[in-house]
Amino acid sequence: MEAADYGQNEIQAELKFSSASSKAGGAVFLSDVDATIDSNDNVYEYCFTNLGGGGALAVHNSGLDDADSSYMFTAAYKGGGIYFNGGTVGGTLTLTNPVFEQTQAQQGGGLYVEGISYVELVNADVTDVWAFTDGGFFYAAGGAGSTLDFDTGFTLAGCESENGCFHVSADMDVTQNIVDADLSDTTYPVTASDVSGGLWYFADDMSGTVILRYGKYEDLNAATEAGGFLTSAADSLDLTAEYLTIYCQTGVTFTLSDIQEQLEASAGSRAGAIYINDQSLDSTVLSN
Amino acid sequence: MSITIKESTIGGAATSISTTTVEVFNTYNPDTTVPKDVGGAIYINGDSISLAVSESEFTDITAEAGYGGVIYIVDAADVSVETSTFLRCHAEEQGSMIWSAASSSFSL
Repeated sequence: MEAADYGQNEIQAELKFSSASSKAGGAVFLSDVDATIDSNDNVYEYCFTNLGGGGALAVHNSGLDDADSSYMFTAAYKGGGIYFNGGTVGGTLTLTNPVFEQTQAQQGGGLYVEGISYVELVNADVTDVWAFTDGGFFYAAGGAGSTLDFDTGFTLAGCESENGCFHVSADMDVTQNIVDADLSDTTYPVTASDVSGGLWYFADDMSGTVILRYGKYEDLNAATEAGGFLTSAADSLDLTAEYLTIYCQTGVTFTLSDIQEQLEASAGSRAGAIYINDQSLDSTVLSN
Repeated sequence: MSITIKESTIGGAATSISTTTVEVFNTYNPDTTVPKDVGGAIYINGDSISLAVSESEFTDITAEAGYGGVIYIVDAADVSVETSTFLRCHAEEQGSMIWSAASSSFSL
């Protein structure tokens, strides 16, 4: 076991990758692995790729099952921590207890996903992640039938970009779910966007189903133009939002409880599904 | 063929690839056309080869203008890399520590 000291936290790492650079896959680049890649208890730090995807780890045409790994101070053009491409057949990315800290990218400060990808995040812990443009933590350009599932807890403390901490820009159907999870302790403090979609941004080439349940979004969810919590310009978005507690920039609590809205968004509408103006709750709009 | 690297320390100056490179070929199908600026320490090409790396340390290894600063895998069977440290390694193109194009399984 490798013992690494990160301030007050001592991490026991199975593998440690430190100080690396390349054009893709800052530390590790894996492609076309027949079986699902098995990864556990690894630490990636100070790794970057200036042109490609995956400051720490890039995976193409494969599946990845990772548990208890940390991505810290890593950077890339796409996916400051991980770039994952499920390919045309479809690959599954499962991250259990991942830690993302101080990761950044042009798109997808922590995680960038494309191709047909089935993504599951379990107990993710994300702190101070950043994207120059889209998806402070997560950017999806998935293919038909791609999914993003959150299981149990997800903690986010500090996420910045121009358009959404979670940015979905998929050509075809993408489903993002926070379903039946105990998120009572989940917090999303200091989530800010310079332009639109403080937390969620669904781009105009997205089409899919979004279910947001039992989330608690605290402190600052802000955007300078539109959608402090969520902005959608999706071609077709079937949105269910229920049992959410959202704290806006003003500190006023806005609760969506039992509304179970089913909304169809209009193409090209910047705040298609839910628009919550962080300046005033009076201008909050739930519309198509 | 099965290759095991255990309790090893491989290191060297970034510009001295030749002194730190361990090239492992499938002796039944050697590929001599691949340039040697890939795989700063370990080179694997053979779908019958299994590679296990453990309890090792790789430091200051570079694949200049290439892929896989430490480990470069064109094709392999089962690959396992565990309980090791990779520090200050670089590849000009992809995978500063590990680059793999195809394998049956891979565990990190």
